[in-house]
Amino acid sequence: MVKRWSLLIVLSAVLLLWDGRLLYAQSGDDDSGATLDVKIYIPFVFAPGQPSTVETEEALTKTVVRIYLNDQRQLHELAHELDLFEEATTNGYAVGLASEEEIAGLRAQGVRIEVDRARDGELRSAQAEVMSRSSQATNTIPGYACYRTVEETYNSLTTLTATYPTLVTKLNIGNSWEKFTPGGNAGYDIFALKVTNSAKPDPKPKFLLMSAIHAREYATAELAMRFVEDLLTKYGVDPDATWLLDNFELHLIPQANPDGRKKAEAGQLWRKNTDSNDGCRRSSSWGTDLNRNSSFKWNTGGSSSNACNETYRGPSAASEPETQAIQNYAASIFPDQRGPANTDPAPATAEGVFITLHSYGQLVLYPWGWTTSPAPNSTQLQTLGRKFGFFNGHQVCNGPACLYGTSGTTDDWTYGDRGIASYTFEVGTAFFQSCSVFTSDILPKNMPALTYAFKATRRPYQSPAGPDVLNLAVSAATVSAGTPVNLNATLNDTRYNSNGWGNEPTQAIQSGRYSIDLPSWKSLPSDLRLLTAADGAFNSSIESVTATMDTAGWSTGRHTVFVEGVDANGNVGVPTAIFITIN
Amino acid sequence: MPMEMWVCQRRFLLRLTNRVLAVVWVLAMAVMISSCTPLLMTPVAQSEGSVAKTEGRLIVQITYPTVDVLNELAGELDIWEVDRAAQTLIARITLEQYTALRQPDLIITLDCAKMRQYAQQNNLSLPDIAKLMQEECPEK
Repeated sequence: MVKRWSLLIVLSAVLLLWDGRLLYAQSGDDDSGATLDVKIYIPFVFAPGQPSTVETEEALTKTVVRIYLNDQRQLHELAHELDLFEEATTNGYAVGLASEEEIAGLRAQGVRIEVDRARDGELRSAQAEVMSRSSQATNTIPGYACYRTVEETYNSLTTLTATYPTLVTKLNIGNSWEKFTPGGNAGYDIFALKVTNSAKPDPKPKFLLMSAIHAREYATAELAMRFVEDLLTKYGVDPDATWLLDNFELHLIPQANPDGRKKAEAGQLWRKNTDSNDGCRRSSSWGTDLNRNSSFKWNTGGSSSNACNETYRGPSAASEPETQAIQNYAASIFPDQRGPANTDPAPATAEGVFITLHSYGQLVLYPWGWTTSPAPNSTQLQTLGRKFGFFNGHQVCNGPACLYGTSGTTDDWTYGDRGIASYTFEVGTAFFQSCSVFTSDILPKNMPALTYAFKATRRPYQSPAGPDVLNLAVSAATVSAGTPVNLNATLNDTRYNSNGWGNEPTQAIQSGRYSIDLPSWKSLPSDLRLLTAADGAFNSSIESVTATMDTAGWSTGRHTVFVEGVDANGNVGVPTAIFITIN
Repeated sequence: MPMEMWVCQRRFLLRLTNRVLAVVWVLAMAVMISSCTPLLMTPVAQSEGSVAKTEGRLIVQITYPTVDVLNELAGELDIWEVDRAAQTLIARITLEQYTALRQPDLIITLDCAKMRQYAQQNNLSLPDIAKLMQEECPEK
């Protein structure tokens, strides 16, 4: 009896351990049709997409050698057999790569051959570096080398933090669903990057840029990363990048949906997060649409109650950890600037811009999404949107007007709950956008739009109505103190484009002004100096302006000159800056 | 009752009891272990056995009659593109949705170019999808 029970216990234990501990696999009906959604509880060593290293390994098995030559004919013969370097043989030997077998064979023929240890070492170092880079490149999206994966994005965040310690802070703002939920995949942290000159700690207007909340939209995270990297590399060199990071804060959430993104990186047209707990039992369809899950006006149309649908809103408002992370972070950096009623506008002086990058459609969308009624700040939202449209050529409209109604979107939440000027950019022409289009079209069109958004973040409901400052130039960038410097610029109040959704009213330029070392809002009124119209009168929406700056009394070193235009309605545009150095 | 028969019945009952006990024990163990480890509680495990067969997708153009219908569709479908002037949209849908959408007020056709572009993601080799492709997107 005891034997039977022991046997039964052992067999049961083996069966249960086998079933539970070693491997749990579930056949998946995912988009690719052939893959398995496998939950493995042992180290998983398969590395899909890893490039072959055969060539590199082959190179490493060869050695750099000197082959001493008897005559030119021998050189030609060797050139047919060996990988000789194309260099002079004036020292009486040729240099090339040879395997151990080849070396032995040549020696057997009486050829004098020596290992060139110095050059062999150099070659091996170079090859090791290439191999290292190759192994890093295994993470890139197959066929889309211009887009960083989640891991590469996170590595870049770490690198930026290390490279620019006073400018960049990396923040862990929450967990992805997989990480939040025990028992499954490891999942990811969700990171934000705070970018500003931390040596100037005073409260600053904030621009929050988010990307990749819809997993399959490859180009968005890369655009966001390129934008922040561009700013950082220009800091201290470019006057605008410098004053922006000194006076404002950029907050970046580059991978808002990392779990979903990993599926998309494998080629699936994955949109949602990977939440499999909401009732959908099809592994190709489960997940919550994070851009229908935000808590403001959640479940008020334009979203689905079917957990398998791509627009599934989730079981409750902000049910998903990703949504909570985004909302909590945004709430931590933006105060609520709007009243509780749907018709309460944010004040004209409200600060903050939010842009969520999506693809595709070439649209700039502004709130509301949940209703066809205009948002209380609709006119101002439209104005800033049309400024973006000038740069990126996108149609500028609110969703229900030019696309369709949606609720639970991130930008409805950031505007509705916080009152900040909020936008969805639908960039490009495809989810899996080619790198050539990304580089030649998306980047050049949208980088200036994002820069403008950052510039407008202090007064997003006011300054976009004002003129832009263009062609800013000084007669000399470096002068001795006391030397007069001519300042020239063009003030332009016409730079808007809705691309088919109405015209922005423009006004004549009323005045232009500049300030030294501090932007106008930090300067004393008496320190604001006026520019004059080059043609003698401010009577046009585009004006050339000029001033002669007296540099007497300026301290030695670099100074920043901030220039702004004012239109006939009193709208002050965003500043543009230039450096002048006193030697 | 003869003694032999009684012994035989007793043995039979003992064996039966042992087997029943064994089955109960195995079930109890399974329940106990599954409640102790999160493994069997994973969402994936919950859906085991109920996972549908490999599922295909269709990329379709839908001509809709009104904005209200568009908004209704937008709540349920994975819409990729909208042309408000032409009153058409491009969406990626399941076969189930395709069947449900075949209504008199909607014109629905396969977007053959996109179907081919995303052939792998849409599982074009599945019989139902392949049949539709053959009908609507014949190779020239």
